[in-house]
Amino acid sequence: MRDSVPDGPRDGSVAGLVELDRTSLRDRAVDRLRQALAGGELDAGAPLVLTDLSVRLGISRGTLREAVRQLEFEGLVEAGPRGRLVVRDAGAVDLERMFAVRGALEGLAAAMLAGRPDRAGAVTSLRVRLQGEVGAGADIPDLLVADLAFGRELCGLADATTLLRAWETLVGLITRAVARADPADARAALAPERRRRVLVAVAAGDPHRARQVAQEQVAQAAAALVRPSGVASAGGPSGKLSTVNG
Amino acid sequence: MSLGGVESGTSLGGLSRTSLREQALDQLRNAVTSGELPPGARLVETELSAALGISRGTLREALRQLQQEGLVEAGDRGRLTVRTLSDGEILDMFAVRSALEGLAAAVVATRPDRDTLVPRLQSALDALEAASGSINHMVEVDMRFHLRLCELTGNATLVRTWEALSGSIRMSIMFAGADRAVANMSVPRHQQVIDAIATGDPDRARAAVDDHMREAAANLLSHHRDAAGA
Repeated sequence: MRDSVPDGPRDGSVAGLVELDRTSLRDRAVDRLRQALAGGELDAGAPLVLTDLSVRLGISRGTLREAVRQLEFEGLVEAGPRGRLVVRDAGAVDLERMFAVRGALEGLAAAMLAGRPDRAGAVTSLRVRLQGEVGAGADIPDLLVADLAFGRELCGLADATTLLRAWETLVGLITRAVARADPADARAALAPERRRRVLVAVAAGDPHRARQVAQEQVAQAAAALVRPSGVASAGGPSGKLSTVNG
Repeated sequence: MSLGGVESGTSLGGLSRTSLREQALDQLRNAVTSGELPPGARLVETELSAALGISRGTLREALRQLQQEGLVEAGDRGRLTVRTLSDGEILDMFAVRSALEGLAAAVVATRPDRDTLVPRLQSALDALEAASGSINHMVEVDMRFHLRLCELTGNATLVRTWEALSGSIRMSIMFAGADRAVANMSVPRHQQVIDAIATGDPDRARAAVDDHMREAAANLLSHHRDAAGA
């Protein structure tokens, strides 16, 4: 998901890249834990036992603590009674309203980029990303990675600090919304065509229109993922947490 | 700098390790957002760890967290300093607030129980009008008004996202000094936002927030120009 960060050495035997390797380990741990939390592998309200998790993921507690902080930021973990970290009950969060926030932020990002005289570089960078991503028929987790990567880049190119940080608070809940949806609905929400429409609108250079298009795409994705009835299948894809270190 | 040491040596053995880190983090965050550690100030690990009475490892972890929160930045050769906001970054900050709080205003304007929500926003503004004392307290009361606006939407995600930015928001309010910060707390300008929401027209409500934020940002930028010309 953080494809700007190179992977660590595959056999884990190369010395001298400690910091990079550590960063990528943390990011992989974040990805793995995000999937587990969003997919319901860990129960809402359950305490996160760091000693246990660090062993299961094969990472140090320091690295794990950084990963968990990121997930707290993304809305999947929260401080429970007596300051212990617990799995946040994201089921209680209104996902439709979350998408309203996503629409406001991605709409702002699109408008900011469209309003820039020197937007060509940003447009190229988004286009290259779109061309390199998986096709519409790919697996849903890969489509989600592509969708999040595009949103992250859209916001990061517009404003890499405040706007991107605001957007990152939504990642956990977006992942959860996809994990809970029917596969057909998830595909409709994550279709590459949505990102292409945003790109075209940004390239055209009309901020008002770009904002509108970006908001429409988010609203349509939300409509596909979040059923008005609020009915959602229990549980989600299961699987055991495995090490990210090998 | 008057960073107090973190209280330690309590009888809460295991607990105090975690809370030491959290307490150090809180103190550092407050020192940065209140301007006690001003923008551009260098963060010297040895000094800070001694002032806070924590290990350098614990300090480094706290600083990494502040970096993630956008309060601290790494400069040449990885040296950490309190983040300095450029004009562009201030404009971006207020643009993001405008997107979030504009959404909030539009939502509150169209809620069926708007008539009971508007007085609650008004009472937050009354508190701002009555506020006096330290600049930190004034900023808190000002921020409470804007947080209240987000809370009245009933959108928990909107509140969470706004709160995630609150350290940076506080920093941007204080960035141009106390006088500018207080000037931006003008009651009539906040009143325009409430009045627009009270009309029930979401577009007017959103536009009022946009105007408010644009003006607030401009006040901070013009200060930069004055300072540069002086």
